[in-house]
Amino acid sequence: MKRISILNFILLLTIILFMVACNKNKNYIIGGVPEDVNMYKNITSYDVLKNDPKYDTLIQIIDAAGFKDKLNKPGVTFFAPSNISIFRYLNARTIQVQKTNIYAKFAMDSLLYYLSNNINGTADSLGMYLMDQLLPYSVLTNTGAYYPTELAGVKSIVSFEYTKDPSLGYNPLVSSVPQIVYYTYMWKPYTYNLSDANPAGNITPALGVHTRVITSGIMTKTGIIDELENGHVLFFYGIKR
Amino acid sequence: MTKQNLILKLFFPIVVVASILGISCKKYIYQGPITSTYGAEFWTSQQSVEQATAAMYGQLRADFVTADNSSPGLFFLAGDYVSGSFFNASRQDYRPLTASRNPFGTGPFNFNYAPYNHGMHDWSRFYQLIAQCNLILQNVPDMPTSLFGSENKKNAYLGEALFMKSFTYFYIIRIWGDPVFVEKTYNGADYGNIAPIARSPEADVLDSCISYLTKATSYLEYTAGDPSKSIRANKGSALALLAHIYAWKHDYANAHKTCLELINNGGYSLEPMSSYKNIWAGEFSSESIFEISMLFNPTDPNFKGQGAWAEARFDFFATFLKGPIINNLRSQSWVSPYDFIQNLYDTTNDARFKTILSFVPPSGSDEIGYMLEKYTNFKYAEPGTETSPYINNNLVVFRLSDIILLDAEALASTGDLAGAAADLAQTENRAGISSYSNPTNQFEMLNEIIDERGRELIGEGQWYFDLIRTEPAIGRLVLYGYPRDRVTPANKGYYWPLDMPLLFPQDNLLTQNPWWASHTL
Repeated sequence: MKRISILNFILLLTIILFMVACNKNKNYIIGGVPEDVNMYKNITSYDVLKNDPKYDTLIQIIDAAGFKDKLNKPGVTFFAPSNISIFRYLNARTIQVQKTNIYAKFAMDSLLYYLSNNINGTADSLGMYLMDQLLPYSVLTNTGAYYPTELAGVKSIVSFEYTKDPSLGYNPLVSSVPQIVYYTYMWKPYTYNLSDANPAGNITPALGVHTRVITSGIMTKTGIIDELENGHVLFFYGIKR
Repeated sequence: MTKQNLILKLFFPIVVVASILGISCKKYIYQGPITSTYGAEFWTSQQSVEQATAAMYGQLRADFVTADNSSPGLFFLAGDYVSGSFFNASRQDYRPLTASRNPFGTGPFNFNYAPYNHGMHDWSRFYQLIAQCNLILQNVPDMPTSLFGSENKKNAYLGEALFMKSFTYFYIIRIWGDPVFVEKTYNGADYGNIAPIARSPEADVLDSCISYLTKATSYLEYTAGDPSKSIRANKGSALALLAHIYAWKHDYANAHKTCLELINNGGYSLEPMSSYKNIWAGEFSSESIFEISMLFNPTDPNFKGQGAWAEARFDFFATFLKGPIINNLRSQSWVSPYDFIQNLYDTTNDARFKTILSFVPPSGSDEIGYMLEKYTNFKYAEPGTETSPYINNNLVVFRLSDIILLDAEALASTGDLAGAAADLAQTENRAGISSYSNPTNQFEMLNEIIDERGRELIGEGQWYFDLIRTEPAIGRLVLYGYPRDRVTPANKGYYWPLDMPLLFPQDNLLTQNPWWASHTL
């Protein structure tokens, strides 16, 4: 009698233990809290950027160029250069103007002037970041494809590339290989033919600028925003060789 | 049965059994452990000496390719990075290490991330190599010559060990200054009784090295233009090291003599510009004097784990590379700063600029600049599954261009400007330039020689040592932002500090380097 009840007790304990242990912990692998992908679903692209402090200079540029309506057009994908990219641009232009006048500076006031008067097509250049179609992950491929931009005559490559670089999140212990969106601005003439043997990942600096998107797939009310990395220089100024 | 009979009957078998056991027991009692060896057992054949010699080269390679956990190798950190010729934006703890001429202008390196760079403050691994050399030098002379076939062959092993010992002391001196001069080998009997040794002045140790090398050059042969011999010490490598040591001591007369002997009799020739990258291809170029073997060896048991003793490696040379050239396995690398390269090279005409430097725009955390493309023979050990990558190049330690430019420096320092110009012209003409600055006096000539060494030997672990050596003459370190009082011969603030908490308990006569003794890390 005693033995049976002890046995029952042990059995019960084991069952409880297994039940508790088998509970799937939802946050097992995720480091942090998952973001709500729909958090921007009711905000236009322009307002999403406006509310983000790292794009406040970009907003000034968009306003000066009168670009807001193009940005908010339904069904567009925008690759957003951050404040740091604009800072790099101003530095590069300052170095250029200081070749003739060592005290000259090219700062935001000059840039805004150039934009509002579309001098040398500066305001039109913003179009290189805009593509008049939605580019979600389902459309993008590892090889990449040319997409026409809003800047006349310019088409850029957008790709969704697998990476085996450990510093970009690849871990040989995990079976799935991470993928990262890249925006590649090609130097003219466009001679590079994309194919599975020649994917966007093989593009060298001589052919084009292979720019990483650090946050991709921000779904807004009007379209998609992809954030370009901080190494990017606005309008790819001064980095052609 | 009577008692006697019984005893007899038992006695005989017992005796038989006992004698059998007795004889065989001897063997079991005195049988040593099957796989271990010890001194008297080991030094009994040429094969053993060959193994011990191979261990020397392996130890040197292991010492060069590591510094710390997941850090680039000591070889490039100590020889190139701290001169400002490269910058690594992704490693925060290396920012203070570069000279002031970098995009962030953080000033001359001050080691304030000492805890993260233990490897660069700890010379112990080089003393393992010295111990190995001392072992060979202690045991081989007593071995009979008949084991080697000839006196020359036996002396060749001694020559190699003498070279490696001198090279190691010279390398320690160039990084940390005064070394602890260890002559004898220690074994288990000495445990607990090893007397502490104080640091010896570098000039005295270099004099010993000079005598070792003079002996080594008589023991060793030239390679006679066979590049496959450049991975072992040879007469050319001994002379090259001797020339460098004389130059370090500013004994330029002897440096010039040694360089001349090597240039005229070594059988080496400059690699033509059209095949410039062959210099680092590994056991291939007739310009190469001494290389560390790092080509892929399919029988290397250490390759898969990529530990310190692996022969073919990925991370060591891939430090310089990123992007499609290594199949996008890295997205950040050491980048040569844009302005630094533009000021150093004639980017229109210098063929070296076009061959071994490629422009990279800013990306990831790296700034705009140039990527070094000397070590780019990227391969997969398993191409089907694209796993086990490695870079199939050798590490070139001494080559003919280095010696020619060292000779130019020696001639310029002793007043022979015309001779120096003739030497300079050899590497500059190969690169397609007639002369960079048309120097007319000694100061200008030395400036151009040091710049030319930078242009030729960038990324080969040399240039920072060149800046130290010529500091009294042209003051480059001060130009790059070091305080004048820091780089005096008394203070020696161009050397790395020693990790005293780690090393002092082992040798309580050890002292910190003068500058670091009075300036906190």
